[in-house]
Amino acid sequence: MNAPASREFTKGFSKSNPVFVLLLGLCPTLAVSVTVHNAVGMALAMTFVLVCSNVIISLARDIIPPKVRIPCFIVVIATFVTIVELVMQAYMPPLYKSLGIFVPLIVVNCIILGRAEAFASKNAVGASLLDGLGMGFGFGWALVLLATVREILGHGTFFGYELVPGFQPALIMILPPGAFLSLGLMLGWINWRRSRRARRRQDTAPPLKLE
Amino acid sequence: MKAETKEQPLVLVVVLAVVCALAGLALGFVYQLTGPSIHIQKQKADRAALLAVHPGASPEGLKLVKTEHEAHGEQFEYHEVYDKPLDDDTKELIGYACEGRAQGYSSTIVVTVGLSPDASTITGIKITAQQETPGLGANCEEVESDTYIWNIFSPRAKAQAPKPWFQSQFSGRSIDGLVPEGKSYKDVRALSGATITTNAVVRATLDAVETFSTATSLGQVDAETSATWPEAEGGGEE
Repeated sequence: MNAPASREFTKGFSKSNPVFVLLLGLCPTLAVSVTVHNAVGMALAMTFVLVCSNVIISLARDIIPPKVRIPCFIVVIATFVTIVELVMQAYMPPLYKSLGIFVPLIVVNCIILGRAEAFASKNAVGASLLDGLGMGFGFGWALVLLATVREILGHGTFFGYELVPGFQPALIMILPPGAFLSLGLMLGWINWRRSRRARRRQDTAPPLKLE
Repeated sequence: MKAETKEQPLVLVVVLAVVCALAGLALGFVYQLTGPSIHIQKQKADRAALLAVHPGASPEGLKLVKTEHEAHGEQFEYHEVYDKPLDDDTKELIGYACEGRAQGYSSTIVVTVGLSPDASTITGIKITAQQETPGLGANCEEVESDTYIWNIFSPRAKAQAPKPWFQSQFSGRSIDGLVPEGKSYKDVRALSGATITTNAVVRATLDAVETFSTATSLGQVDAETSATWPEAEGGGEE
């Protein structure tokens, strides 16, 4: 794990994007991506919790006995989620209202526990912080992209502003089926691209070896 | 080696206890900071709902009245609403405001209802809590918007206060006019695809009126009409 620091940060964007590649945390992804406003709020809350829990867990990784590490991680994560909840309730009540149950559910979001277990508990503080930031932003852009598609098609708006007057929005896009459809199509496209790239590499590599 | 294995469970307990204690401490500290703000936000929301259902009310002219009557497992409360601050002697009662509830499609819908002084007319309603399906039932809070994305860049953008079209249709209606007609209510502009939510909002409104009139014996609701109110029926649609 001696990769340069920048890679710890950028890997969350594409190579191991939590939503599109690791397929983690899909439940909030599907539920919250109804509007871009919600998506941005959720992504910021997630990033905050990810970074803070990664840092704390990385700091305490030598103190916590392996047998009780999972409960300790959960307590740390739940603490930060509750902090986010309280702060949102105090200063951003409309966002708190629209995210609803999905703020407390960040506790059980597998991206956060996954990063704590797979990365922060084995790496230094700096790398864990960058990992948390990268994963948070990676989750964020995936969520915003999905929300953009769904809000434009399902509400006819972007960030709450109407785009085309008289456009009849497709209701299905803001309902669960729309979430599955748009996420499925995106995943399909990403996988198709990746397999095509892999095939090209294979096509060009073997002849060279044979010569 | 033996001592270590014996000690270990204790170490585990101590570490977990310390982690939990620290977490509790941190949360207590954050709550100290945010608690007052949260309380203020809640009051603001309640006040905004009261002022929304009584357009002529003074923000200082709201008086909470507690009653002996019980509704939904809680003591029933309502507000007396005045047009001037409470300490002003020339103030006049412009009506009452109270809360009603009804089960919607996927949540309990809570509505703050404003009533005229004789409790015969609804001055306005405001939905304060609902978790209905986005795009269908949740449209009961929808605000009619005529702001397009290019309005941000255009200086001639119309500055019109957005109006919640579904909720505002109840303003100024008499309670006797809210009568069932088939599976819905007469002259209520329904939410498309969300009959259950539409009916639930009406029932929550009527619930507020009915509880208020039994608690204060103002503006009696006919028992016969209340028996025929359409219930939320499980159907394919919302």
